[in-house]
Amino acid sequence: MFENKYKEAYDAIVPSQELVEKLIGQARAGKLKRKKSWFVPKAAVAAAAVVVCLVTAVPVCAAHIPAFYRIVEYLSPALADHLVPVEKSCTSQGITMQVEAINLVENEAQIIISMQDVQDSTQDLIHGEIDLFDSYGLSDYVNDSVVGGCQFLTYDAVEGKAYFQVSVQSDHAYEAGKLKFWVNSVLCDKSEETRDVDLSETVYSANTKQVKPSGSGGLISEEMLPDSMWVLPATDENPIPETNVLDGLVAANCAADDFTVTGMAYMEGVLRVQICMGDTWKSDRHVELFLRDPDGNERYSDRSVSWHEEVGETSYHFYEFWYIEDIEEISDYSMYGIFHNAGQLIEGDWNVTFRLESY
Amino acid sequence: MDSMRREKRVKKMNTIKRMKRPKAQYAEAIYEEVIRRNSDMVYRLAYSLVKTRADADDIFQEVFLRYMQNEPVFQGEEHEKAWFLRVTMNCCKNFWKSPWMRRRVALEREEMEQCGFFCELDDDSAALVDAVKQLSKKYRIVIHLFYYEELSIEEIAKLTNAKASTVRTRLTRARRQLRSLLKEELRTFAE
Repeated sequence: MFENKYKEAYDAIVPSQELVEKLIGQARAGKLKRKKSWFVPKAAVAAAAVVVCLVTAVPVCAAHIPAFYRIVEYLSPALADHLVPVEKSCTSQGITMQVEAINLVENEAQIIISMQDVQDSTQDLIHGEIDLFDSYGLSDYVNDSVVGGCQFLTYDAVEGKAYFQVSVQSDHAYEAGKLKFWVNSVLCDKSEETRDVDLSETVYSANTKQVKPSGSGGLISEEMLPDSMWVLPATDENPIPETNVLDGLVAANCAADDFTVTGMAYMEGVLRVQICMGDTWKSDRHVELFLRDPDGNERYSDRSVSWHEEVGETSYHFYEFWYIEDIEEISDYSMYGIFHNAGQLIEGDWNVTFRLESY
Repeated sequence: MDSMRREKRVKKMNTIKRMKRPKAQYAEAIYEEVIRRNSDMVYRLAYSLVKTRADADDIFQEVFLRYMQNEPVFQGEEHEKAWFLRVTMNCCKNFWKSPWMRRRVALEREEMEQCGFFCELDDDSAALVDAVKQLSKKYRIVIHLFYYEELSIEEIAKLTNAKASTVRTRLTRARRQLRSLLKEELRTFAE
C-alpha cells in the first residue's frame, strides 16, 4: 500500500521536457564537456587556497568553533544557524553532562547536549550509543516541558563524548532568563543483534486470549484486519478496551532479561508473531521484525499490539506483530529481527541552570 | 594532451572491461539515449534529496555533465543504474556541503509551500512528498532507493557505503517517522 502510494506520488516528479531537451542539445553540440584551464589547473589553485587557509585560519577556527557545532552543522545546517552556545556542565555518577547549545523559540526548544565519563575516570560507561530513557526536561520559573523527543546524534571517539539533540515543548512560552535542563537516567551499553526467527513453528489454528493493550499501531488501519483482531471497545462492565492475541507461552516461562518467541500462527490471512521482551522497565529492549517473502522482498509488520503481564514484582512486556500476507507455504518465507538491548541503566541527577538573555 | 590522456584511459578501461567504446560519430546518439533512459530516475532521486525543483535541476545537469566528462563504460543496465544513482547522491552531498546551500536552507520551506510539483499532486501524494522532505537526508536516501527504485537492502548498502544492518535500521526509523508524520493520511491510504 505504502509502496504504491510512494511510487504514485513520485511518478509525477520528472524533469521538465525543456530541461531534458536543453541537455541533449548541449550534448549534441559538445558543450557539456568541461573546459579545462590551459594556464593553471583549477585543482592547483584550489590546493594553494587550501594551504593558505590552513596556515592562516585553522588555529583561529579551532579555538572558536566548538566540536558540537561541526556535528550539528553537518546534520542540520538549519538548526546550527539558530543555536545559542551554553557550554555549562554538571557531573553525577561519574558522568558529565554538558548543555552545549540551545535554540529556544516560544514554547519549543532544541537543546544539544553531550555526555562523557569524568576525566581520568577508570569507568568506561560512555563509549558508544546511549539513551536518555525519556528522563529529561527543560523548565523556567513557572513552566515545565510536557512533551519531548531525544535523538542520539553521534559518538565522538576522540573526545569520548556522546551527543544528543533533545527537543522539548511546554504548554506556555518559556520566559527568557534562567532556565534549567535536567536528565535523570542514562541507558548505556546499547547493542543490537540480528537473529533469525524460525517460522517453522507456525501453527494454523491457535487459541487466543484477551489482553488490555498498552499500545497498538501500524502502517494500516485496524479495519484492514479480520474482525476478530479489532480492539474491543470499552464497556460499562469492562472499562478498559481489550484485544485478542495468541494464547502463547506465559510470562512465567519467559526470560526477564532477554527476548522469547511466545507464539506464532497463521490464521485468517494474517501471520502473527508474538515476542516477550522480558522486563523492559529499566531497559530499552525492543525488536524490529522483518518478513521475507519467496522473492526475497522484506517488510515490516502491518500492525502490532503490546501489553504487559505481571509475575510477582516483574512486569513482562509482550508484543504481537501482524503481517497481512497471502501465504501458501510458510516454508517459502523467512523472518529475522533486529534485537535491541541495553545493558545498564544509570540513575543520577544531572541538571544545568543557565541564563538566556533573549530569543 | 587531454585528448591523448583520455584516449589512453579509455583504452585501459576497454582492455580491463573487454568492451568497446562506441565510435565518435555514434557517441552523441548514445549520450542522448543514456540521458533519456536515466533522466527521470536521476531527477527523482535528486528532488527527493535536495527538496526543491531549482536545485534538482542543477543536480540533474551536474550528473550528466559528469557522465559525459568521465565517459564511463557500463557493464550492463544494473551497472549503469548504480552509477547514476551513486553519482546523483555524490552531487547532492557536494551540494549540501556548499556554503551557498548553508545560507539558504531557511528558504526551502517557503518554496515547498509555494507551488512547485505540489500543484500537480493530489492531496495524499502532496502530503507524502511533504512528509518525506521532513525526514533527514540519510533517511530520505534509503526510503527513495527502497520504495521507488526497489533496490534491496544489500544494494542500498553497497551504493551508500553503509552496512546492511545500518540501512535496515535507517529504513525502519524512517518508516517510523513517516508513520507518525502521516498518521491521518496513512489511514486514508489504507482505506
